[in-house]
Amino acid sequence: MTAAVSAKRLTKHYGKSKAVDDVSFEIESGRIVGLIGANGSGKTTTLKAILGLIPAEGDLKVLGLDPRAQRDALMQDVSFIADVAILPRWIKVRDLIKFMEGVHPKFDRIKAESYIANTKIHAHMKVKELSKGMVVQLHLALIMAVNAKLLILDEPTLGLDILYRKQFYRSLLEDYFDANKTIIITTHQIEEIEHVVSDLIFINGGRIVLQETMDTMATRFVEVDVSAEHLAAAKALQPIDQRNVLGKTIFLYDGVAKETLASIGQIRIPALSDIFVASLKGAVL
Amino acid sequence: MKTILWLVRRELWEHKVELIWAPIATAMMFAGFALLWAVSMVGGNSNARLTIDDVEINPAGALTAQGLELITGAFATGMLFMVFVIAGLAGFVVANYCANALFDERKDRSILFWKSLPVSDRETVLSKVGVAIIIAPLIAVICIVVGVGLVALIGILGFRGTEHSAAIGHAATTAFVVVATKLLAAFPIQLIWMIPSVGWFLLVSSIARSTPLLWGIGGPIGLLLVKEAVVYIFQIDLESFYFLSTTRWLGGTLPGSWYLIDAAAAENSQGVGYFMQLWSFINGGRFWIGTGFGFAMIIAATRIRQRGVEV
Repeated sequence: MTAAVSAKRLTKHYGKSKAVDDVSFEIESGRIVGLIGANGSGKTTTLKAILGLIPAEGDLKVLGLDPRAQRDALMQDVSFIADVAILPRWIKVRDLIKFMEGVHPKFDRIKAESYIANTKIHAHMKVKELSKGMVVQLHLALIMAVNAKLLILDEPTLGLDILYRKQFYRSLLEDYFDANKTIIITTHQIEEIEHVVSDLIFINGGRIVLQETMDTMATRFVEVDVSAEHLAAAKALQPIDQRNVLGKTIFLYDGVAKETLASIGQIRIPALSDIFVASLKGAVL
Repeated sequence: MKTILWLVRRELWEHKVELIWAPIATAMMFAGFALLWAVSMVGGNSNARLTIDDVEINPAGALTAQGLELITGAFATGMLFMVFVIAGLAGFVVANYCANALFDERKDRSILFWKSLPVSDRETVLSKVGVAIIIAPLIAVICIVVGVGLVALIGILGFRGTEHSAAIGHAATTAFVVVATKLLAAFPIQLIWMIPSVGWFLLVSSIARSTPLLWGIGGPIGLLLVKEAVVYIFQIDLESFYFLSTTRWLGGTLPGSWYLIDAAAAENSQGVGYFMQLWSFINGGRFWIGTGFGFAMIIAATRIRQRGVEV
């Protein structure tokens, strides 16, 4: 399988601080990757480097191309939302669609219009007449109508209500995604992509702290409800995080056999957000 | 090429008020004045008098040689005034357009959307240059020619049926043909003349973090003051190093602003001399060196847009 994105020793300085610090990773094509990090963790910088929007040190290949030197060729096959609410405010929805159809060989006008038909957006409206959420809906409709090999979404659902969010992720999986496409998504709402992504990358302080497929995540991380009598045994197994809920202590383990853990309490699959919080504390290696 | 045409269309959508409607409205305003005048002059009112330079001309009476000359002159002057106003307006509009062309997209962050499309920085900047040096002036020229033509037509129709209709018709047609020919002859030269100014304002637009128009105007003036100070203090001649005159640098988008530098040329702009002067004008090294600076600034603006989006 070929890599959609391959980064070796990627580094980006802003003055003296490093937004991205010597990061290496590969994203295979046909995957949906969640890039998770706190504010200022370097995820947006990483995405901008992948998109050739900013220069960065290191070796970066996207769809086999150098995103800086070959950006024009790359944009034929890459589509992205770098931020919400960045559509030009003066343009009419109708003109925006016409323009996309005119300049983008892989834009499907019918598709875009069918997505827009599900919203309250009208073709004669100007972007500045739309509400925040509607601008996001319009942007998503345009981007989803582009048949790109790599789709990058940075916080795509910011400002959307829960109904449309779910609808968006459903159509992303059902209509948009296929084995020839690769999607990278960042979001603060980890729970909403939990069942969407196939791979996860946690990034913190400009470094990757975890990279796993969702399949291995489920075997690697286990959460155990431990009652008081097993506390000592639980701690001996070196949990990566713990928290107290209703008199019970919940321990989070990384790479401890399920059979062992089952003997000290009730085991279950932890929420991604709990693993992420643990990773922020520096516990996940 | 198809992409460039769409980009130009996009620019016209965004700036249709100042690039399209402003010159049309101005030309129509002049035509409207001419029409009002014609109606009040002739509209069945036999007592109406036209006064030019204190000489009274009676449309219903006989026309003296002096009267005819005055009317011919009035047509020529009026049409020249129209050219000044519409072309001058277009010049200011283009300078302002360029100063904001690469600034606005950074300010409202829509550059992140434009850059998500398969459109190169070169195509984007080129489309803006094309709008500034070809499309906007072309729209202005069409508006001027149509407006001036309408004024001539209204003059001819206004005097129709009077004794002087033939003479007036000739005067109006001549004035129209002269204005239109001069305008069209100067058009390609104006196009090249404005390249440094367009390049400069685009360059400022790609760099400035605020008020690009102000920086764009302030820069050349500041440098001019420095130059004058150096010349005054050190008593040296910098003229031969100053390839790009401040007039062209700053005012290049104003049509025919070369007359501001070359007053003799302006005086010598009657008849065939006008065309000779245009030719001698582009036949000089300074003209082309300045144009080269213009291209360099356009390329620099493209590179800066390419370099990165820190928004």
